[in-house]
Amino acid sequence: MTLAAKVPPTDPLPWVGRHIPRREDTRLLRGEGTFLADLVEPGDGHVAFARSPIAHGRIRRVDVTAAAKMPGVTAVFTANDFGTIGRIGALTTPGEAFSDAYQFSMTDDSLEYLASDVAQYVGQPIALVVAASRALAEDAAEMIDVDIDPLPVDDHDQPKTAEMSFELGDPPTNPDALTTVDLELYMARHSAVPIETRGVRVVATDSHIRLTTSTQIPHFVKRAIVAATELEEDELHVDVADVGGGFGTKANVYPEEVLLAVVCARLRSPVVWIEDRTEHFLSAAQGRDQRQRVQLTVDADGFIRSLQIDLSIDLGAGSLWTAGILANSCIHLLGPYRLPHVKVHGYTHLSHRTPSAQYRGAGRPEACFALERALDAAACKLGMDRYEIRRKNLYLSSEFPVVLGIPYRDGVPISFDGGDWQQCLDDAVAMLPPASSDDRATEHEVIGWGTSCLLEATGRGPYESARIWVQRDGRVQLMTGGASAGQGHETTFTQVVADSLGVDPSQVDVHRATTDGLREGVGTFGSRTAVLAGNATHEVAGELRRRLHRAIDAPHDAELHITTDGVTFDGLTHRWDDILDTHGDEAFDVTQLFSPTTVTWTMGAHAVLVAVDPGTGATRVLDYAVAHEGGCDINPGIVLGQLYGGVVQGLGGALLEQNRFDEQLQPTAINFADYLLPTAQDAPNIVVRSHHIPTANPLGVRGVGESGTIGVYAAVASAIDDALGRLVDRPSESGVFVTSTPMNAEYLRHLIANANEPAT
Amino acid sequence: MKPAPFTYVAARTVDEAVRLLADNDDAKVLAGGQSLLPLLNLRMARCEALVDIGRIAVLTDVKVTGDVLCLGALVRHTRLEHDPDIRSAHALLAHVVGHIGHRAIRNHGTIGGSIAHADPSAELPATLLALRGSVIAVSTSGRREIHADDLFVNHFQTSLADNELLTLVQIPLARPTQSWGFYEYAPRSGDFAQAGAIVTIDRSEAAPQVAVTWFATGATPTRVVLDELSAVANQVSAGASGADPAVRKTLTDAYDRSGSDSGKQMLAVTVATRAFQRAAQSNPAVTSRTGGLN
Repeated sequence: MTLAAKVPPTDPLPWVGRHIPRREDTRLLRGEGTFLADLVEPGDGHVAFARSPIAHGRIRRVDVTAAAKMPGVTAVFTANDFGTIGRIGALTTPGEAFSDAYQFSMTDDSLEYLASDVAQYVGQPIALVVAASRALAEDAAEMIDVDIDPLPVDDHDQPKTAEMSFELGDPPTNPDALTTVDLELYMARHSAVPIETRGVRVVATDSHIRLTTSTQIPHFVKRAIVAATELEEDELHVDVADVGGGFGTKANVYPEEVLLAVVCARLRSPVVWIEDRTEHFLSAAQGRDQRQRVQLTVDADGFIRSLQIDLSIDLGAGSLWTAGILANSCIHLLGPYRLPHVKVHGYTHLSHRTPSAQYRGAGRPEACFALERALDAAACKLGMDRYEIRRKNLYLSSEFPVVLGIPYRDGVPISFDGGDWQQCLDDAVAMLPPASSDDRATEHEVIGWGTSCLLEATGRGPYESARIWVQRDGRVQLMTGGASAGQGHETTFTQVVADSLGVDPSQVDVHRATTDGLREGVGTFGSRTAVLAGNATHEVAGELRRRLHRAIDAPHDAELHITTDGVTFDGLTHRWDDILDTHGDEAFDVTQLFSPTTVTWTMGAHAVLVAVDPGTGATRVLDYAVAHEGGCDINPGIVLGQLYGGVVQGLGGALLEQNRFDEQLQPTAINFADYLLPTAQDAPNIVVRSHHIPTANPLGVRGVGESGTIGVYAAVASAIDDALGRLVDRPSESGVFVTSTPMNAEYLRHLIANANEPAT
Repeated sequence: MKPAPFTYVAARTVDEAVRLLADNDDAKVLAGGQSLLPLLNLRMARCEALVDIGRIAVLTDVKVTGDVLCLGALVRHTRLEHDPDIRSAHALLAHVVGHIGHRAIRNHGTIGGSIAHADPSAELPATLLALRGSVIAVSTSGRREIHADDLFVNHFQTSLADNELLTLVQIPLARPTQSWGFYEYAPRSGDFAQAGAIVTIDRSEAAPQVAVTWFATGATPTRVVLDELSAVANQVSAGASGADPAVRKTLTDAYDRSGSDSGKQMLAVTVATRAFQRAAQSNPAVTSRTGGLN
């Protein structure tokens, strides 16, 4: 049966590249989103945990007698109730090509999902209570008597968990004629702090367990739970609700997720746990915490001759991402600069602090800080402009592709492509030049300007999945393995489907990732989803279009008009019911994996203007500029959002945020009075200029999720040096030089006090 | 993050409130709740009974008796900020309140609650001390006045007895011979201060005095009277900068006498210097008469 075609839509292709408003915002801004806590139903068993009160201790006895008798308590579980406690294993292990090239070695630092014998950090789950309400569960959890003998928390001689090194090029033969700077740097531990804390709800049916968790990686969560417990692959489904921010801390698998699955399987009734903010600061994965010794050698003209770096990373009580954090840190030291000789050695070690995951940038901001601080120090020593030393060491467009004799994490030789990196730096500096006056400062402040360059590997494989299908009502449905934590996937993937299938965006629905809707999947982290899930979406939509061509016997290059009514070609409309009846619904249900050849590279340059009050040590960020060499922007508005948010999150880490611990490794910043996040009032005006340099994937996209953050620490440090340098006669000799984060007022007062002391 | 169980009682009158405090060994008073409720939720504070005084209308009264401004314990920060009668009684109150938390906090927080909570980094306890105020405490056994000098004992600790209710805050009215300056440093707008100072200068011929009151630098706000007026005023020579060594020396000595945290010295001297400059500059007509300033 065919009908006469309707008038085609007025909006022509392409949709990719347009700044259309985010489709999810109407729902989210009206408070109509469905976050994990919105799923709670009457009758759910609420879970509260008894957590380790000390950073390291042998658990002698866990007495739950009193807790079990408390009103409203359904059940109490300790390690004894689960037999052998399983472990959550590493989520990334490098391949042979990588390991060989970097002499990479790694030990097993998997974590028990419930402390059975020894507690390894404050906040580690030891027991859990299920009760009729969260308040009752907390009352009962308090009554659990944990007898625990303290063990040493000494930071010395903590075991190494991974180590790697590499050397490229030859060291300079005339070191005496060159200038070397030698720095010891530290980037403090801080963390993502998403507005929605973690949370898990699990329900049981006769046939399966369905676990909904506030995660970026539902497929990893499923695989880890199956590996750590007796639950079978087919028995467990994992999905997500709306997720209110992840930033890497939710690209992780957590003991609470495993435990709730196990408890629900035991009780066969719904259980829910909504993390409170204190728990979040105690037990959600943190990041950074990296020490670096940097030696940079330059010639008299400022050209880099050699870079040598030793770094160590405190992962806390463990990490499922050890290899990723270490490899990112080491490889990104290559930066966007020509390095005739580079020698890097790095390792990770354990401590009795909170475990770590890949927090936004995951080694990249640290590497950028090391490289850029060293360039500033060298410029200062040579009396050279900080912009100039960067510009002359950046790779030139004529040098692309730059092929280095060493592989990336995926084992493929590193090859930088790009447009004009010098132009990118020039743009950042043109948008925000050094201040010509102190107009913006108050009577107590001095102005400072700084800049930094960055290079980010994005879109790492191995793959991402996408599934597209058509409903009987003609609506096109899409699901990808790239779970959204607020990045606007509903909008961007709709734009891709609109172009690649050839439909109006209003005809497309984007589903949240579920492990039953999509068997394979990786998840959203590491600036990968636009590249991987975006291209996977492009490919399944293209395949669906080809199948529709075949179904209606249209030539493969014929232009189809696809609406909710049906598929129109040559003036005739084939209705969906007819198409689906004839060929079967499954014929138009396409799942594919997209596997990239290797990563794509995103270059950027930042510039910042700050005002520093030497009397208090306070820094105000006045203006910020980002010039950015991305690929095709699927939605430029969403790219801007990533950059704005990335910059402000970086400013938090640069100036305010720190997960602090006392001598006994008790966390001391476990609420928002002590852990300071930047607020809207602390956010500067941010200007962005994007260059679109397509790269080798079907959509030509590069990742952008971390570029905003990576360059901030280094740029702000440079600007603070500049400001404080104005207070002393000879900044190069005064020791006014930022070597650690956060660059908070206390740290700046310390720098100022040292600078004012007469040289000894 | 749910509070441990407690009994909630809403008192209708001061008498009822103090009787409830007398009858419960482990009771806490709920006023604006801006500090107490988070502490209860974090289980960092606990109580058997929570006595809510929020409905006792008489505690919202504001009046001037003689040369004293009398503020009911429930007068909220926002009212201190905007009430013209309070502003004309002493403008410092409105000024410091602008530094307390955020709007939502100021809409709920009360002057009595802030003073009784005695957070060492809070502005209002320091203001009470700087302005030589006092509070009235009521219990079943009667009513007493506690001068600010005798009120703040330690971190979050006052000389109020467990069964006493702070009902009234009394602050002497501003005098024409008096000027003040306030400065605090907080890492972000709305944060707890990391150091703050109120400097008061009284140029009355009978009893001239310069004093600095620090807060967020020790266990309690502390007030130090500086050396006699003319000497200090001379140091604040026209537009004296914060770097003026003589001013810094005077304030550093005073800070040392305050017995505050030595690690905060640089910041404490900075805030005191800036408060000092503001105080010195805020009343030029009077200042000129001292002869110390050009």
